[in-house]
Amino acid sequence: MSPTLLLQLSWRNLWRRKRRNGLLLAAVCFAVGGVVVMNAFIRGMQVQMAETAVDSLNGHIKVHAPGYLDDPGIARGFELASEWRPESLDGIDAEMVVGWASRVRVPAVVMSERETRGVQLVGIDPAAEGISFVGDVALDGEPLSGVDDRRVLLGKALAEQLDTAAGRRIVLITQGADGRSREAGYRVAGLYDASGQGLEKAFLFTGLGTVQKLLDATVVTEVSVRLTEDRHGPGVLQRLVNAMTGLMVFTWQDLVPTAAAFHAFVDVAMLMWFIIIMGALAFGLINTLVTAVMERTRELGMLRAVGMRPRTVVAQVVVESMLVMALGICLGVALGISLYYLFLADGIDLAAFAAATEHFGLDAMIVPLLLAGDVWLVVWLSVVFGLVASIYPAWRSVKISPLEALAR
Amino acid sequence: MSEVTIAGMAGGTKANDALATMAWRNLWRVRRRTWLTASGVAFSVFLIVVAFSLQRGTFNVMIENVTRTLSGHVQAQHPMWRDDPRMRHTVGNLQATRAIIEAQQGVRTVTPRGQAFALVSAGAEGERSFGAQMLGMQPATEFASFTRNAAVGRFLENRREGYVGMGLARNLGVDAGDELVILGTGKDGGVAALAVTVVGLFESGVPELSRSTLVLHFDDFAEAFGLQDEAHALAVLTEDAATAEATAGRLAAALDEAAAPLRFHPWQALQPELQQMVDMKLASTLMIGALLMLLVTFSVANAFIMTVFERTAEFGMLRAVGVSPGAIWRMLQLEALWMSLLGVAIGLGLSGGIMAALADVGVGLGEYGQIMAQFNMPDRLYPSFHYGAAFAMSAVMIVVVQLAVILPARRIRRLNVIDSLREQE
Repeated sequence: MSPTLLLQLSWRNLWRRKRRNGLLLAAVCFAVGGVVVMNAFIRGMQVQMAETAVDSLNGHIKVHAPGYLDDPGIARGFELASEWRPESLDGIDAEMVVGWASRVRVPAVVMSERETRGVQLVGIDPAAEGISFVGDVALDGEPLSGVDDRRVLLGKALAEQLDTAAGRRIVLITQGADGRSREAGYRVAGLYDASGQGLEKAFLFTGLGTVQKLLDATVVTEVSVRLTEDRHGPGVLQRLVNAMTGLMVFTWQDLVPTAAAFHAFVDVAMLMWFIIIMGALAFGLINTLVTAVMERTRELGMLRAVGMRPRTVVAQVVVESMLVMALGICLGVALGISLYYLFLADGIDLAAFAAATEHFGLDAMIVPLLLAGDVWLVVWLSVVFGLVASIYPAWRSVKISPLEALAR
Repeated sequence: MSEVTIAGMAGGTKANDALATMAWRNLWRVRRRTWLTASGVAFSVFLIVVAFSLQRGTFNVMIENVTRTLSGHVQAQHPMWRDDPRMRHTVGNLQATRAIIEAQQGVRTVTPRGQAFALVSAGAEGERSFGAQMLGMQPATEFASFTRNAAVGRFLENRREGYVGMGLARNLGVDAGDELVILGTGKDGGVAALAVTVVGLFESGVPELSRSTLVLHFDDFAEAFGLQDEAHALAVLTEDAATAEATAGRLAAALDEAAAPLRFHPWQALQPELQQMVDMKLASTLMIGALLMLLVTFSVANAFIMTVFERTAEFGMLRAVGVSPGAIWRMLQLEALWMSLLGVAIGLGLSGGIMAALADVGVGLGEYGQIMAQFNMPDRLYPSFHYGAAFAMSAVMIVVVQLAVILPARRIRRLNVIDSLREQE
């Protein structure tokens, strides 16, 4: 039988049971739509978590001196030639790199007139920090003007604890390159709002040169490189390992294992979700398909009797199933995409769960992300699922004996 | 079809019994379909019950782990302390308050805590200094889990001893036996100074604790920072974390919060992220449940559309012999009821059996155990059968199935007796 004829026959067969197949179609549509929406959610969380991890001064790739992570201090710094550029290294293209920044980050104690807190003192080049959250953070006050700016940026939450404000003075105590304590007063340039108290309480920024002067050092403690795409990570990592002998090179996954673990778990979660939903759908689908075969016993027997080959009967069952699936998948994807653009694309405000989302390295605003690849995956998995679900009905259809069928 | 049945269906007390029997038998006329439809119900019940049971096992352990790390189940604090932890926001009348809390029912342990920020120096000339969190703890009553298993040495026993987080110890370059000098600001604004000998190093599940905490004897802490019969918190361990909110309420009533500047916070308030994590997880499970419900509805409705369609002639016959459309409808609803009960029974049986089998052995999470551990969750789940979820999901499924039958059953009312009889060729 020609494929066109087969398709036509199957299509008409579907229309013989409008209501039943309509319901089946709706079920497939809701299942696929639900999976698409859920995947967008999970993917959005994954991307956001990775983004936060990269943004929190890590970059995609980070270079430290050996031992710095265990014992962060200026003693574990390294010299960086002023003409050093990641993209000047062999094998790293300029289009792989968004930007890079070198910093000095050391533990310090910050004191206001009233309170004392422990922080990470970070000396930055404000011009290079487009690669981290400091670059575009909401600021109450003024930004730092350059590497030699002697003022500091404080997180809002920390400023509240210290009971200080922009324009006031604070005192920093930390350990110099010689191991002795240094102490100096600085004016607060501005307070930053990082929409997460963790960051706001952890980092205090000032000019890179200012920190180096305070510590009597010319070294930096870290270099962060932000890449255009995560997939360049391993390659760039390898180049940096080769180029920067005696230093340790990390990916953000090494530095934020929690986010990396979640990142890796996402694909499994998507698959689990798909299996659960499609599993529930399977019962209804198989049920309908088998009934469609059984109630046509006479008809199929007749066709067999007049010479239709078993292969064609099976093909007919499979094509019918695939037609419903294909239509359902199309409608489901359309439903999922519409729901996404209508309600989800602008983000879901989980302010009620803010403490938990921050714990997971997420913003209180979850922005679901619809990726063509994820939708495709659902589509072809659903097609495979439809094929698998039609195995049993197809098997029932070939078992029909023309003689018995006609005798009924 | 026996005459008794038909007579029964005409009305009277036996009518419902007869209908129920007939409905049950009808189910087995197309076994395959019944099994498939019931399996859909069973699958949904099974999934939801297993999900809730696993989660409850997880949450119980997680809540115990997190609350025992430091916070305890309930804390008494100065009303301002939680939002603004300052030296001067203390709980006064410490001894008296503590005695009253201890006397309350359901309270297991009460221990005072002091908390301050100070500069810690190590080495003969103080060549290494770091800012750190001082925690004043009473060794005799302390329950925080990281005080139980020192990585090196032991927890505090006497005064003038210090118990240091591993990360902080590394930064300071100290080990057990070394001396530390602490310099901070006391409650009244004066200098707080103290020297202690390190007796132990600890590693806790919370990196922040290990990185920046030095535990001092509470009496040393109070003396150095100028606390007099006061503490920053009284941490309470109760019999059951689940009833912490009620316990906090009872304690508040017993101590008359209004009279003293004092507030009781259950762990839900102390660690909102914990409660929210539980809520978030439940919300996503409920979403799955809702979608499953929808799919089961479709599948059942479809199955009954097919049933009704195939049995048009039979229904016409029943009508012809005087059975009312209402009775036929009732019979269909009963068929659906039996079917859903069958599905629910299978779902509950499977989930109950598996959960019971796993309750003691637990479920290993393999490589994902490490992820769970990072979120303070156990790496091995010990499920505990969630009766609430089992009951709720069963009820939901039974109702949903009843509703799903209404659509196809409406056809019975429109049935034309003559036409439908003609269909039986």
